[in-house]
Amino acid sequence: MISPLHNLKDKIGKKRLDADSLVEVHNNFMLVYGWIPVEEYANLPIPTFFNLFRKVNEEIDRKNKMGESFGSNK
Amino acid sequence: MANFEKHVGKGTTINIDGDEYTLLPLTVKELPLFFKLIKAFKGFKPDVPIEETLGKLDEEDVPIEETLGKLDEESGEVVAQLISKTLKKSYPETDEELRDRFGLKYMGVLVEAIVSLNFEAMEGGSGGAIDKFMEEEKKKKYDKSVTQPKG
Repeated sequence: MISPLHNLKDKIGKKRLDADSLVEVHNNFMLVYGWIPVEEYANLPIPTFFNLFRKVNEEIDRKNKMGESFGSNK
Repeated sequence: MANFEKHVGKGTTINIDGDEYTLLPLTVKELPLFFKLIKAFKGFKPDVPIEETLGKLDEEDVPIEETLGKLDEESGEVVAQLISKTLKKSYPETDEELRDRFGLKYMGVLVEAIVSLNFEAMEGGSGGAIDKFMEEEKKKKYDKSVTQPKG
């Protein structure tokens, strides 16, 4: 089974951040961390948002590398 | 400021005329305003790459007032909103009119501190999203100059 993180890097790492992409990032955060109420997401301090954003990207990189080394990342 | 302190939403302290003020970071709700601000800085000198424009904010010899003075009305409004929201969040008990007057008087110092407090997190913690954004802009500019030669 392909992890929901599989192509997340493309979605939130390469995508240029703008107001609309904040919806997509919310969705992607939920794929990783579970349900996040809209109000809680909207009230995240900006530095917290970017720290989580970075961590998610790092996790995606790690999983993608693992997938590549086991040949399952097709 | 340590990354953990930023992560938990602690503010930054600035000194204005000998008094210390603590400014709190804004939230995801206000991020679209920041994106507008980035575009505004990019827009006021279209021939200058965005990284150079943003970099000027850190240069001591370019007064922030000079940068702000070149923003159009809409962008000026964005700056005013960012200041107003930051002051309201940081000092919610104070009188709104007083906050607005304070924001107007110290606009240069405040906008610099607000951009630094929030924008540094974008640069350092975005997993390269801002770098990529800047790279894309640079590439677009390069592609344009290659496909549309002068003359």
